[in-house]
Amino acid sequence: MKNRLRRVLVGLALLAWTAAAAAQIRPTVAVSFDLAVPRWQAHFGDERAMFEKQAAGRIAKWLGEHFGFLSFAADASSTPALVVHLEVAPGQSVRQNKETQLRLELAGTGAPAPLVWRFRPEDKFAEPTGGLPGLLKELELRLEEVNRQALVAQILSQVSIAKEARLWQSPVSWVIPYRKTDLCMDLSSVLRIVSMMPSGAGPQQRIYRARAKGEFRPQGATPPADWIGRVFTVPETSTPPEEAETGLNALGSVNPQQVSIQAIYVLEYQRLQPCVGAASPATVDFRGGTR
Amino acid sequence: MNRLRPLALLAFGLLAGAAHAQEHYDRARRAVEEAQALQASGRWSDAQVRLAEAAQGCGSDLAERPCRLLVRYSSGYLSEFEAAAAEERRKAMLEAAVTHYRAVLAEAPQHEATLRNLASVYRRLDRAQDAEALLQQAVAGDGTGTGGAAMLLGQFYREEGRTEDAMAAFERAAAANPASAAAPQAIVALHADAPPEKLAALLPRLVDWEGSFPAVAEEGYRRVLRGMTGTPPAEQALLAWVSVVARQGWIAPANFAGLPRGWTPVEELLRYAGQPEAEPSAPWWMQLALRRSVLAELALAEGQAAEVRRAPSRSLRRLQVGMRIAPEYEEYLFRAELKRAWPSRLELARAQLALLAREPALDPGARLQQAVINELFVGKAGAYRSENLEAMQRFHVTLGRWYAERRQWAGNGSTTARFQLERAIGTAAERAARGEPYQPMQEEKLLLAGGYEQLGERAKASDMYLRAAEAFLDTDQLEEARDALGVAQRLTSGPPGPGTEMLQRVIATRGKVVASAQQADPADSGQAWLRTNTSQPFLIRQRFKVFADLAERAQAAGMEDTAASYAGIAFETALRSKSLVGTADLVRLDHARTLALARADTAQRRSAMVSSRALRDPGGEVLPVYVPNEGRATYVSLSADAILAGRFDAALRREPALSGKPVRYSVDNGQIRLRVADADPSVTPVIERLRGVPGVRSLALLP
Repeated sequence: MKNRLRRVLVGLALLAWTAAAAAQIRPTVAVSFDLAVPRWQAHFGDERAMFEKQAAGRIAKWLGEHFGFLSFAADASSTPALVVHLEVAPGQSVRQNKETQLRLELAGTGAPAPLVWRFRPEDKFAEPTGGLPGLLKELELRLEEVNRQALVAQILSQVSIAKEARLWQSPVSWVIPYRKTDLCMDLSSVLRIVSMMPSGAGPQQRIYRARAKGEFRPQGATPPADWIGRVFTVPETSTPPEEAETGLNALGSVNPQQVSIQAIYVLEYQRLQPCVGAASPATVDFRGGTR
Repeated sequence: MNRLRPLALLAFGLLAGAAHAQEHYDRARRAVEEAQALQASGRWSDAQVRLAEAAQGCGSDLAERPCRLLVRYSSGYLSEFEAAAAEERRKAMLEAAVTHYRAVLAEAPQHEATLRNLASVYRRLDRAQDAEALLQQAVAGDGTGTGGAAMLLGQFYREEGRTEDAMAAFERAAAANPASAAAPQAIVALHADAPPEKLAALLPRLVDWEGSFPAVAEEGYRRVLRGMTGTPPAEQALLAWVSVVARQGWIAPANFAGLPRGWTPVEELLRYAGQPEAEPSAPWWMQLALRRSVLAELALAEGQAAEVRRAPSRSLRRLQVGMRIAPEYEEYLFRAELKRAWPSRLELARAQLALLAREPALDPGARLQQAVINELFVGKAGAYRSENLEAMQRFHVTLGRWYAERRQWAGNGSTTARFQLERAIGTAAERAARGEPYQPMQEEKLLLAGGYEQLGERAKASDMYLRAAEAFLDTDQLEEARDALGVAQRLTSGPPGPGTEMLQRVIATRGKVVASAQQADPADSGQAWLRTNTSQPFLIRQRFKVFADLAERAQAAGMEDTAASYAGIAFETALRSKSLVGTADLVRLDHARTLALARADTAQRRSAMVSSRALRDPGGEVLPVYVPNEGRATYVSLSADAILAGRFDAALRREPALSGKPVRYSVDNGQIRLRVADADPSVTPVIERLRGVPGVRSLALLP
């Protein structure tokens, strides 16, 4: 009888674990590419669509390797959608040779400014592309020159990574529904937490800035098991639109059950190195070599 | 013969087994998935049975090893999770996981996922010492060149709060794999709350990383700024930080957020960055020449920022402000602190000239352009010189094109297109001689050839057209190469010289490869240049291109063996080359390497890395590659084992006794293990010869 009960509990725990794991799926950003340089459009002709598809795939892969708090897919049609344009830089130039640039913008989130950086200077405009694979390789090299800080601050920080978190009051902190390795996110990363707080006039939106401080393992308390090991973040003084210091005081007295989270954004991202969690059998392959 | 018979039988058995190995592996993977599903539904015993069945299905010979390891690994992994689900058996399950993972490591001591999982299990068993010993052992035996084991050890120490040990481990990872940003990034992250003396010690490392990993250096400088605000090291970090963000063009407002406020240098900087078109009120920055030079770097970046591209007049104002900030040319020459500084004034002048030439409406009558030119040349002669060859080349190219557009070819001194273009081409050659990528400079050569022609210097013009034709071939522009060669011939009287004839042959050969996928014809004397062991860098580069293209076409036609042979020649040729040209060559190299080394097991080993720095492994090679950017160099670092595999494979192909025999081999730190199917006595002398391939430390023939 006891064993059967244990089994049921194990099953429930695993179900809970599975459900919790399901809740931790990072949002997917659809990535597309737009080749908008007329000279190269003409050069690729019918191959243009194939180039754009492959370019989107490489960019999605690169983004996934560097910004683990989101998932990126080239073949997705979901929102938010990230569009990368390869285009002639704007200006009044009447010259034949043009500077080319990469412009990255996020559609579907009302993101403010796009991120722009140089692809080729003007005097290299006429250099051959090396065909489809050559231009793809050049694109890969240029990706390494992107301003990663601005890419997060201007673009990727517009995508919410979760709509739940737990407010913990001793000390005041939020436990987000991810482990460090889920997001490949190191401590010191900064989040924006948008929450609805109770007030005399009904729930009011409050925006907080919080810094990842550690893995949640409170002393002398027994929180739900699925909280343990998640990232906990502590509020820090910030500038608008986040709450000022005075707004932080309310967090200590509010009933956590009455707080709901609307969105969590990553404002500053420190990548965890090495980014490693337990590797499931599905992710290992012993055929290519066994060192 | 009798002695070899059992060997041949074994080899036959091995091949037969290998045919089933893949099937067994796939079956094992499905079994593992089923076991996971059983465990998730609470049927751990059934999951264990399923794993045991899968293990039996794997068989015991060598070819089945991946299958066995997969099942063993999965058993460890599922035991770990069972430990979390069943508290009373937690310890027993974790111990079981240890046993399984240990078994995997006995056969694959460097398997990173297993090392990681086992270390984690040890920690859950409160056996941190065992975890440490395991990872230390893995680091000691790590020959993969990835630094992966050292990274795991560093992370372990970091989580244990042992910062010094973590630092040492990450340093070791950085040394093992200098082309990767992972270890430098981990080292910077380790300094999150470091005391001032540690942060100060980090500074020289950041300077070293600026070239290869600017994002890591930028983050590091920020940490020093935050942790040591107001101190001399913070001042040094601020100058370095501004220089990095300016040169990378990372001047978005997001980058300036988070700097320590309330400190005069930062406050002045923010004020200037907020209004880069206004004269800066920045006494701290204007006090010393080096600070002015760094702030002028920022002015250059502001002048070229995306937001002012639509408004060139704003761009001009920003550059002009920069000119007023920057030290004078003489200061760059004579002030010790500016000897190695970025030549901001020169770069600002160049950018201004380029902008004004591009946007004539900004400068009716070209008075501003003339003012820049006057400042450069009318003052002290040669005052514009800089030790920075990259900047000097940019400068000469801009001026050369500027004068060429105005048809100013004749005359003495530096104020002619001829002088500037000759200097631009010469500086590019000087950089190549220093180990940077060879730059074709085809446009500049064509322009200069036209200039010589205009000046009536036919011999020089002809020679420069030939050089332009070579450059066009280097950049895969066959039509343009033909045209340039045609003009060169027109300018010379008499029969074509040897250089012209060789170029004709190269163009013809490459044309055939492109047009008809025709293979190299041993009987064709026009293709004899492909077979000669030339030492001319141009011909080596062309030979590489031809054989890489032939390999690609042979593969597309389904001729795998021919493709591998051509790829082998291409890869060998690339190793002899001093430089590759264009991203097309990077693609060729990737493809040729993959095809040429298809029989080699170097799967877990880093074999090639593309980087902005020439990073040479012991015994490895660095190939500079020209790519059409603003002048930053690109390099491919090839590991010693990849190079050895290339040479070894070429030697294998030259052995008739091995022709048509399935061969596989592994390369590990110069040690080669070779497996030959259908081996017969003729193989014995072959093995002896193969031991003589340069770089082979040992060679074992496996049954």
